[in-house]
Amino acid sequence: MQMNQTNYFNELERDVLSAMKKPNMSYWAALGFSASLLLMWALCWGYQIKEGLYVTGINNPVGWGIYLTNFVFWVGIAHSGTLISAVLYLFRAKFRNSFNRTAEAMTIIAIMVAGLFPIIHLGRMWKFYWLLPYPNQRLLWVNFRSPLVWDVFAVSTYFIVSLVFFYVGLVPDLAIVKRHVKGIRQRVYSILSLGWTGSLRQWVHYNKLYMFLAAFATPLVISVHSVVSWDFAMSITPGWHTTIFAPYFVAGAIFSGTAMVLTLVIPMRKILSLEKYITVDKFEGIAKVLLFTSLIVTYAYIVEFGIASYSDNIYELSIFKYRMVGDYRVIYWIMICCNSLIPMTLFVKKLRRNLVYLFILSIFVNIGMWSERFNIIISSLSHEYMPYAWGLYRPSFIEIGIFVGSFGMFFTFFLIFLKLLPVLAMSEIKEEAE
Amino acid sequence: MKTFSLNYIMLIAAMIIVAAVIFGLEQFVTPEQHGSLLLTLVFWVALVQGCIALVAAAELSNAKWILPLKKYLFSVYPLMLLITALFVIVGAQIDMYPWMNGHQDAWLNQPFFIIRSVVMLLLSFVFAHLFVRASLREQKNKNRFAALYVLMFVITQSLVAFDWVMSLEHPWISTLFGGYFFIEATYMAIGVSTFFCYFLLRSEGGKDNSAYQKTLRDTSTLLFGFSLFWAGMFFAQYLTIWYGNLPEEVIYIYERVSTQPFKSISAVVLLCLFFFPFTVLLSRKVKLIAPIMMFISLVIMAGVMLERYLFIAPVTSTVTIEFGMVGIEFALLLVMFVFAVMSRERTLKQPS
Repeated sequence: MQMNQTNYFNELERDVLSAMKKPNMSYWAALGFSASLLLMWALCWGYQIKEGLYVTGINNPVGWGIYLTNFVFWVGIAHSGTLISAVLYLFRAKFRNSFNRTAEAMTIIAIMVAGLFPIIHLGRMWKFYWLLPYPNQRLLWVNFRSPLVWDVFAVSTYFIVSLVFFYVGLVPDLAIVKRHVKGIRQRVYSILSLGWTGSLRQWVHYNKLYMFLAAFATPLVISVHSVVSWDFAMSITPGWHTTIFAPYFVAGAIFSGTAMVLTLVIPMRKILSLEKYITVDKFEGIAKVLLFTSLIVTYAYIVEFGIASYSDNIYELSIFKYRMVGDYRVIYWIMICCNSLIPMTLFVKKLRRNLVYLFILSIFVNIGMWSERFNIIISSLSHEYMPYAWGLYRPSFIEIGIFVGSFGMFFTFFLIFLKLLPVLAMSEIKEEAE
Repeated sequence: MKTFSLNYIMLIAAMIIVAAVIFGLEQFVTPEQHGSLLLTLVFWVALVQGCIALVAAAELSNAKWILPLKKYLFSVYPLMLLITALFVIVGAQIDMYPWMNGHQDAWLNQPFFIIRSVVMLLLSFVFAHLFVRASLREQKNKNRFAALYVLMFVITQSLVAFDWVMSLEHPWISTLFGGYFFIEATYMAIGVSTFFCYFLLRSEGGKDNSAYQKTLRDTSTLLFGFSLFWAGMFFAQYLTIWYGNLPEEVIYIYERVSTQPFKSISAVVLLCLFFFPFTVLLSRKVKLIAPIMMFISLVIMAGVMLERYLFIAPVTSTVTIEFGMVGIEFALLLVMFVFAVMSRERTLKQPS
């Protein structure tokens, strides 16, 4: 028994660490492709900085185009990291440990990508630090009543806590990596592992810290996307100003983030031959989370429309009808199909356990969730109170370039992560096996 | 000592008697005093449905801590029948809803209002029954019934929120009201679970009760989590209305924080549902002391009752709540609740 376990542990270390070995051609090809998209992103943004915001499609009344759509989308993607690491940890859901490392890395990268979008949306982006409150000569302070300032606090707090959580989770694994590499890399991993030896005393402290961080991070999962939702709900724009927005956005964020975890982990498992550790059972757990959050989002869609019909508010009802049959109806129906109808198929156990199906579904969900944000932002702005002020929006090539390029940035960083850090939480998988 | 218990038929007979008594009592109430039965029902429907929903959610997520509490929580499901019967009495008092005077439309009209609630209450009873049976027999399809029950729970609680309570202030709206109600129902069910933990611990006496201690700890932790979750829901709703400051929306809050006694009650509700449980439950030791946990749960339930009073009472000058009546009706339902729990061994054995 003891012998078997030692063999299993050795095998686990070998399999996980072999992913960090010298990259092969397909890796370089993927990295090259992602990096070229990243380059496109940089060129588009550079051009926009040089020329000014007129190169975008944003106009009056649609002052928030797909830049803000992307911001909400990427913050949403960043959500499942802490959900899987912290919330599922507190609930002692074992299936989390096949995904938590990837999800946490994804969170960190997605917040960085998301954080750039409000800056990209600024006319004079070099003044972005004006968003931070700091003592200055003219005694000017940021407008604390603006939800955009709340965003600065919420997103940066989330980023810091997620980073700490990610790093703390990595420490025991970094010590394992240290044992397996040589030369300068060993020194680097040695410093990063903070002298971890794996003694009982260290583990006792470590577990306490991890539990504390998990408890601390859980309310953050709720707060961040609540604040993002308030960017909209605090205004009195029809279709935005509604009380359900905060929980609805949180559920939507977890929904899209979980889908992105599937999009990343299913190919990764295949390419890095990790089938033994990321079992189909564990995917089923994630698929259930996906189904659950899809149902919450669907509930919100129904309630929003139902209450708009129930009330005597003609503006609310008008905007919901406009979404369904107006200029952006295609986006609306894509959203309904991808977020509500197609995920219902996950009630079928066979489909929950079919990885090819889950992979395709996860892409649909991501398309659906992007469409949802587009639908909320653009349709409400283009069709507010006065018909005289209505107007349409169409993204320019620069905006589309920056949007597509943001995926390049995300995947470039993710591919680099695969080679620098262990992709599975080895110590946790060992703990489960014991 | 032989404890008192009823079988299924006797329980139903007792429910019929209670329904008849309440029906009789309600005949003495003037139309100006309607509202006491509604208040009693919006509390108990949440508690009873929440108990089953808690088990269903736990079963769906393969939670083990619920196992010792399962029978206790399940035992209350027949009360849904009593609640359905009592709702029909409320249906006869529908004049207290302002939309009855000329604002009736496709959704808000007397027959549909009553029918949809009755149908949903009965359906949730049926699915609760199927789920309880499947779960106790450890049938393979128990998760299917659990999911169906949760669906019914969500729809019914949303109806309770939007129809029974929100439409009292028609055309005031809040889209979160439904979600707020079913979260609160679950919050209360977790509170009730601490009582059951206490009874379990006591029944075991000096024996090894570490398994029950663990259940108590998990229940308490969940209660702590829900106190924070409740605050999040409350704040999401309050902030949106306050910040928007639209006259037609903010009036709901204004009515409840500007005049006495509602002003003080609002503060007490916040204290009972968030500040008190959250602060006390920060301590790890407290989570293992059953009597203290019971006290906290009592405070939470009192908070929910007061909050629902706050929702219903200030509506119009014609709806005032008769405290004596609320007391009697509440006590009758409490007695039935206790009967149902005490009779669990007999009623759950033969739910055919």
